Amino acid sequence: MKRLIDPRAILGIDPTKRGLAFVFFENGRLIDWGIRHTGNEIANLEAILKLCPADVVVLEDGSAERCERRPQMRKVLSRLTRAAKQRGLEIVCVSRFAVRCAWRARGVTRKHAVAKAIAEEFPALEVFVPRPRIKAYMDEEARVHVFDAASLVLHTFGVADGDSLAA
Amino acid sequence: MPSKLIHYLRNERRETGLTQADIAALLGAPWKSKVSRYERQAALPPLETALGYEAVTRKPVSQLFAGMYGTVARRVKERARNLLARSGEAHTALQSRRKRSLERILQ
Repeated sequence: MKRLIDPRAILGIDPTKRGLAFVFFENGRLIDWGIRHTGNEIANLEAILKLCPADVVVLEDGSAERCERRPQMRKVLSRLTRAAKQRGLEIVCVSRFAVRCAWRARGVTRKHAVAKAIAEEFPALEVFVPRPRIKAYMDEEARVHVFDAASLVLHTFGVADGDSLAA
Repeated sequence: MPSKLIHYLRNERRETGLTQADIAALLGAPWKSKVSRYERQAALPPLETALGYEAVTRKPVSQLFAGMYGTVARRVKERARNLLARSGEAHTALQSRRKRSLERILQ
């Protein structure tokens, strides 16, 4: 099992239409993950932070170049950033495109493959790996977003034991 | 880094691959809602349940409740420091043993 290089309490968040997907690391260990879907995004964030008292929050950068988020979701991202800042937390905004490029450099291009690669590094997530999307019209499983949040964190802080995504 | 979470019950359960219903059955609770309440920090498990968790996860209670243990240990150290400051010179063997015990807590 691998660990994050940074030992601080780090919360990765990925907002979706079904709520907030999150992963929480402490002392480099994966502690908690899931999807919170009650109330609005701020209430969800408060609920997550109550259970996962983080020092650092990692979010997607909605204003980054080649960001593919809809305007509504960009607003959600900025509201989340503001709410986390008000709580005095350190915010790290990451470009989703940069994360995808990092995975592509490792030869991993599909979301299912990314989820599998993350689960290999953190075996506790193995049972959470979504089924591959077979047809284009099939909706993405909600748990894909947990891996999206995880890949933001892994890209930003890197994992120990050599072959990390990025340092 | 000190633990920020009060306890790691949810994390440990997930690592073992057990469900909340499994834990409830192992701990002798009638419903899994009890386990859910513990994991959401809506309630604190009693000592018997905490020891049950130790038996299930094979990890000491102080490790399972690392955040809480850290807070309690810090308070105990403060009290030990106060006790030590209040106590005078050790004249008897019993007094010096007591002083050594207090100093050991502070280490």
